[in-house]
Amino acid sequence: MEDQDKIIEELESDVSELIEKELESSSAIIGINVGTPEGTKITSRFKNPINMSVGEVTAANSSLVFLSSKMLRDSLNQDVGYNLITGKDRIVLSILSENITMIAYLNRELADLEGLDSYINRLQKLALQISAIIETSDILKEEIFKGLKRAIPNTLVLAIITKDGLPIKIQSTMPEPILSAMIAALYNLSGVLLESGMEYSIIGGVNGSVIIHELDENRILALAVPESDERKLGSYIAKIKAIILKVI
Amino acid sequence: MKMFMKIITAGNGGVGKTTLLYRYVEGKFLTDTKATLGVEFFWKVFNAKEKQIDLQLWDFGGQQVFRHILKNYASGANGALILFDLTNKSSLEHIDEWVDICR
Repeated sequence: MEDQDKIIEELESDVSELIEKELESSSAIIGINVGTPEGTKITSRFKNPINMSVGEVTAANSSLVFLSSKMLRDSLNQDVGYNLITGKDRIVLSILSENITMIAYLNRELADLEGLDSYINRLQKLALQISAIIETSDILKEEIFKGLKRAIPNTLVLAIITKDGLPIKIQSTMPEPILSAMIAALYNLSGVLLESGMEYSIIGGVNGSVIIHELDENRILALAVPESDERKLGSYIAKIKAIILKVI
Repeated sequence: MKMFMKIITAGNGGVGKTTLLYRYVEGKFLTDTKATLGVEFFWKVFNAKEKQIDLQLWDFGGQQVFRHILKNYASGANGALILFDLTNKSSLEHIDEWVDICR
């Protein structure tokens, strides 16, 4: 948890700078809150305090984005871009980007005068900029680690590495450079044997198994579990996929 | 400050790649080594200019049969040591092939 707090603290200063500039340049924007899709707060800036706490806004927005995405996907098979909620005095604009959820509160009168379209565009651009900062930060791997530890609590080794073998985040008693090199070599060798990209691989033993799973274009995830039952391993793969889908 | 470096050792089978790495990492000389099957790994930490350097050493198998897979392992390397045996002319003649694998 301390790790995550430290990462969020570092992220907050980078992201806050962008948000403050946006707030200063527009009289219609009352405040902006940024969080991860899982509902972890990254940063929040409001010109005037609102009734909800920062954590409550982030969680509510995370839930809103989840429901909106599901609604649009299930009914129209479309990905959600934004969710616009209009009230008497306020407009709430929620934006889902690659790896963040952002919610902006607008003064309705001023936003209507200047044109809502321009606000949607500029806030989507801001979300993309923040998203780029988040993507290169440690928050994603922390989210993956947190999600995996929760979903598969008996995990003994957990590693995120690059496909070249560079350790990104590792929890293991094995030396990081050796473990990451082995995972990368196994991943690459699997690709050679498959003659295409590997999705996942299970190295099964009598009382334990290692699962290697592609995380994204550049990264691989590996975990070791004291489990050899194929059905259990299958359920672990499903959990890993769900976490990757949620975080990446 | 910590730095991480991926370094490859390559060259024909029997030139002494594993022996050299073992000597460097463990400080001992191996008199009897088996052919490396594809790739093996070593790890060495040292300090230079107040930086801790983590060396991840990829010891490529030198046998002909493994060469087609080695290019996949070379990606992202920070450097490569290509070795040949002074008493084995053929190991020198294959240097270009190894350079190509490591690039």
